Amino acid sequence: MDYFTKPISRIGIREIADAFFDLFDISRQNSIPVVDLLDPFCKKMGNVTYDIVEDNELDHNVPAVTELDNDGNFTIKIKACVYNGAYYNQTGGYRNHIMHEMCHVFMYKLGYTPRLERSFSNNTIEAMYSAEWQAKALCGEIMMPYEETKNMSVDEICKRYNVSLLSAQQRKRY
Amino acid sequence: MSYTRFGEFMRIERIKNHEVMANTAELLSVSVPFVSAVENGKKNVPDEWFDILVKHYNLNEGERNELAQAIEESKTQIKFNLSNAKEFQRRVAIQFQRSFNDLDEETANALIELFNKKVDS
Repeated sequence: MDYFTKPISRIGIREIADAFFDLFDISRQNSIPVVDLLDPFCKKMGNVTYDIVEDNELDHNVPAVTELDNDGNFTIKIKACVYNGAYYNQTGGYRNHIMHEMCHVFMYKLGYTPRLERSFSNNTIEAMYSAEWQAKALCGEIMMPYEETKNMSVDEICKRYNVSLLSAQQRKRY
Repeated sequence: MSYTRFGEFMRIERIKNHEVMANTAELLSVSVPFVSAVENGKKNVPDEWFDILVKHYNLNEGERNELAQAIEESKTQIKFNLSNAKEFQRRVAIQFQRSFNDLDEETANALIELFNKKVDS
């Protein structure tokens, strides 16, 4: 599901990624420590928590999800297999799922909140207005910083930043 | 859902010690989802965790008290042993259990005040 929100360009997302690096004092030169970031992220954001749940607690095609309750509290729910794979094996896809959820929260906190009551199917909202695209783009910009990766090959990006082949290929399109 | 005070305590200790929840699970010999359920208030903090955490984080007296308080405030279940209770004590425990879900804040505060007066006198 996707939500309509206020627009932002790829360049704007890149600037937000820069702010994210500064806020959490993270090096742009190495793979981002996604799992290590969960506690500091939740603490700094306030009213955000994460919950590592048994694999059968989320639908089989949902690796992680962010829920917002009526009191404005966020819970990032992550399947145990995704968390363990991201931490113990540094699996790029799993790391990406976790970072993606943090990006949803970060964008929301910056005011990119749903503008319409209804939700939409994925890929039906124009990219710059799409909460899903914004989280995906921000996740890419954080996990593969533009300036550092613009002259790297797909293989180099995969190795240096612990991302999936698909993510690295996607990076080269921008 | 919001973090329990125990969850908040653990989050701060992990940040200070450059640890993640997986390390907590290893330390306590449980799964990550179990630690998460405890920190999120879905399960009680097991009694044996206190000593393990005190030792691991080398907590001083003040920090130990803080942890004990956090555990106390994070309890999801409280058991009353009524086997040796007097009849009036049994009645009040059962009545309290029945009324608990409908208890509003004003009544709760009035009860706490009443109990505190009793302790002080």
